[in-house]
Amino acid sequence: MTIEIQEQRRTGAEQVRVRVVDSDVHPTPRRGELAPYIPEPYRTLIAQRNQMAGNSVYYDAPDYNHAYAMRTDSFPDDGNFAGSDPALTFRQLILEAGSDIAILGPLNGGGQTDEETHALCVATNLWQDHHWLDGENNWHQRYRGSICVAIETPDEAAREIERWAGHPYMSQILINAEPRPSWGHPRYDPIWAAATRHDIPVACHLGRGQHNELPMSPVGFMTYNHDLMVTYSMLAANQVMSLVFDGVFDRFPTLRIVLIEHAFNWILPLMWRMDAVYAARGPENGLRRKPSEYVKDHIWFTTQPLDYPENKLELTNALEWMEADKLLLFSSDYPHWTFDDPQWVAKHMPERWREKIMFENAIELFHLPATVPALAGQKRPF
Amino acid sequence: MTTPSGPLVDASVQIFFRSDADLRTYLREPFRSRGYPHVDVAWFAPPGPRYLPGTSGADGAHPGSDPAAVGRAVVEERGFDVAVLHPMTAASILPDWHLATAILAATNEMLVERWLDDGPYAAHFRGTIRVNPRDIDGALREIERWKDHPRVVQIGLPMQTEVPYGRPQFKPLWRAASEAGLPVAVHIEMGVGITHPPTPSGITRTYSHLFAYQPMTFVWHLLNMIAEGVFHEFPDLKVVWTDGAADMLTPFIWRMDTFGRPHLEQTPWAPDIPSSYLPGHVWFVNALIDGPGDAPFADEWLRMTGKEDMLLFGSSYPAWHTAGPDDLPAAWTAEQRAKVLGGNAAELYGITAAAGAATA
Repeated sequence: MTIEIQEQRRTGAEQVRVRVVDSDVHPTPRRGELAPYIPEPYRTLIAQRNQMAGNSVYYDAPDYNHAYAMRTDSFPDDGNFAGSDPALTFRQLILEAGSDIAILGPLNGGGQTDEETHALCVATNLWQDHHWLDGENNWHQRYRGSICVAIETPDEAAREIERWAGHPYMSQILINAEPRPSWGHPRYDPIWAAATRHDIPVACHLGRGQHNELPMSPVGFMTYNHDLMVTYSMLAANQVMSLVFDGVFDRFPTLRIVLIEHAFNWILPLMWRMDAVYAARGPENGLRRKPSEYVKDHIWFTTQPLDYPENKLELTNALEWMEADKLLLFSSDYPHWTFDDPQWVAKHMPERWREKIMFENAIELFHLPATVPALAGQKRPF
Repeated sequence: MTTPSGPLVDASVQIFFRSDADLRTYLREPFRSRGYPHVDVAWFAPPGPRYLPGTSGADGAHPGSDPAAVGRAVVEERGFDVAVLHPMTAASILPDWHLATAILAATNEMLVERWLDDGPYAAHFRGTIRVNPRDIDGALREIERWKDHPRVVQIGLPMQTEVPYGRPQFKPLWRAASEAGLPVAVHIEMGVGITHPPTPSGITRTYSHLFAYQPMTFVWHLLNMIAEGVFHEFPDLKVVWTDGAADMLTPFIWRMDTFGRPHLEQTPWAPDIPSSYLPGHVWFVNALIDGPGDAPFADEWLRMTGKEDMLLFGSSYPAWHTAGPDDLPAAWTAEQRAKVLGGNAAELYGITAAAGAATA
């Protein structure tokens, strides 16, 4: 019935329950697609610097020169990069893998200066609105966007949030975690204030800065993509501790943070450490609650990359002990090479929490609809 | 409460010079007249006592500087048979590596002279000699000088470094430690110096945050050492992370294994699955804020990743966060408790029950 409607890029009247919300999906502009949205003088400046510029990768994912850290089947036929074709993403992720709603997290890189980074965020938001969230490309109503903001410029970031808040398909604010200082510093308060004013979660995907904000560890630089990417969680762990111990959740009691692709099993022992130091030295920090309580009420983690220890029961135990139903949101990371399939992830979640992690938590957090227009031939992963 | 049948070992007791003036009596010129930080500085100090009450000596001698007083506290009052001493310095993060090496050499002389060769508790003490990883030749000389001392049981390095310990420049250190049969103990250096900020995002704003975060620094060193093939090249190398945070090993090695399978092609010098390099290479001292506390699953958690064979009880006496056996999780099995309170340390350091009791 709906096949013909899909070919016309129109939805029918039939609704279907949302069973998978995918909180980490990466759209990328086709060649030349972003530039028109970059405000001057940065558009010209960035174009000039891009002349004769080659690949700038270091810390390369496996087989980089063949896969470019992407699923090799996710490159569209037109020669553009993986994740650049909304129709291909729709087919591979929504129809074939069965993610019902995809939260898009564009990673268009930072500028050399704070002003350039802000300009790129402005452009990225306009580009999402015109090329992914518009009626032609989001006819199926399965895409949600991110209000990208430069945490380096909190006042401009707050204005950008005001500009897009209320957009029917913008579901979260997206910031970077690499700039210093940590998020507990009061300079970032305008961002948290704008986010909570509009009840929009603030998400953060791991990225790549430069120099000491690469990130660089307290003992210098890692050697390989392997040790860099695994230790990346230490940056997120620090941001969690900064948010808690610097009182951000006391200042903004409705603030919700989503840590995307920062892994999550480390939060279990980190909650123990924070609670233990709070017990030992608590009063001097002026916190109103135990650190683990702030984590469970305010911070969310996406499931990808899901670890699988030799003994699967250990992961199951860890999920139980951390109360994963209060912490996790499913994510696939499409179209990156580390893609986690929703059917595979669902199997590894404790059965009584499976629906919370795969979709219920995200529907509540992002204020998503519980049903969406049905699609013919869409996979239902569990 | 179950106690092990072998020796009870406190694997981390902090010892000090009596004062800066005391340290200078062990230094020659041009170092004796130099300026360098005290071990206790105001920068991110605990807003409250730094040490247990009553641990300062007469005339204001630094806590942990009197061998007889420490012996009384650790052996008589706290009931341990053996204490592994870790001399605390502010030297190995000094910009002038010559000065750093000189202070560490002075520290080792003090350790051996006052604690290991003399005094009523010398038979209960085992020592950590301190070497400077930014002066490899000097470190090798210092290892050569002390490695055959019967009560020197390990080599001490700072947690804070300019580059991670997987870098090839440290290979002579690992070779010397392996050949000497001495484990390497990594400890957070005191004082201040030329260090990177303690987090990837700069300083912390509170002491609690720093205190809980900084011990986790081992994650970067360890994962880098695994990927760089250090344990593959030096199968006899043993590393003890003495600031705790062993709990972090489980999630990070899961991640490193999972992410590692496709990455191993990039590092043929470390061809095995990362977690296979842990047993027999990696130990941790347990710290006050470690572990799941009273959780009923603490025994299962300790079993995971083989942590029950890696964990050494250490008090950190006389620091404010001094821990005792009562702080260990109640849900551990009797066997786990025996391993942590002495069994693992006895095996690692070659401590026998008779050795600890010799002159008690």
